[in-house]
Amino acid sequence: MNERNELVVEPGGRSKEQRPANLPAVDIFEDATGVTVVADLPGVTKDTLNIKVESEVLVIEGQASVPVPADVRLIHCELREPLFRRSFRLGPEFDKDAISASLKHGVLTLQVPRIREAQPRQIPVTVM
Amino acid sequence: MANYPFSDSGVESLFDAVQEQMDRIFRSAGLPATLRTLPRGRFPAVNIGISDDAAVVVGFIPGIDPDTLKVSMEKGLLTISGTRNMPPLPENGRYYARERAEGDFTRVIELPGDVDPDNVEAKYIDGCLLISIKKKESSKPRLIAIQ
Repeated sequence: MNERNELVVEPGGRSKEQRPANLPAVDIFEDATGVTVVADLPGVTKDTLNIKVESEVLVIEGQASVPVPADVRLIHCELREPLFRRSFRLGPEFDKDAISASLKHGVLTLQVPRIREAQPRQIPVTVM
Repeated sequence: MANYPFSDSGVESLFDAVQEQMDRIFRSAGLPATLRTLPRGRFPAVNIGISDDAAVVVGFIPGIDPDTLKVSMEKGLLTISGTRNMPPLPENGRYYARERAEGDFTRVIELPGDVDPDNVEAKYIDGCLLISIKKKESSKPRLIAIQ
């Protein structure tokens, strides 16, 4: 279900998809209605967050920014790149048009429901 | 032990393909996903910067209730601690990945000697804890006029 790398390799120069990025930590869990992806995106706001689905790939991309005064010199850095990016492959059983997302306190929660036909259902058995 | 890559250089390479394979092997071996998070003592990540009149510490801690965060300062040591709780799993649910750190965390940061412990400001914005500690007035750079 996880596909880390981008699908297109550009020959010269680095496009936005090719800048080094951090992989955000995610929790993924599934229940009967679909899959939920929870991602840690500290410092990312709604304006810098970009979620898109291209054919079968879901891409989460966000730019982190922290409001610090301009004259601050970094002396210790554990989170280097402010760009977060992670992609996932979605199987055909998911309803890509009904994906919902919410961002709070730097945590993105994405809900990907299954298409109606793919939801698990019990078949009642009649005894003849 | 596979070295989990935390960054995606965006360039497809043979090494990444091997890494992906190793990942799949270890995942199916049933090792808990927490092995792939930052090692103990390293969550949350912090960046530290200094300017002329303050020291700035940024902790990247998304998803916590700011009321449960504790920031304290003693003898030049800044301590950030708190707890991150996850919502319970929905019924009939099952986890595929659990990379986000859960539970109590503590980070202790040593600040340079010229900071003023009474002049500290902390803000929690979009999952980032921004702590600003002003430097002592007496230690700021000062021009001395020559008579």
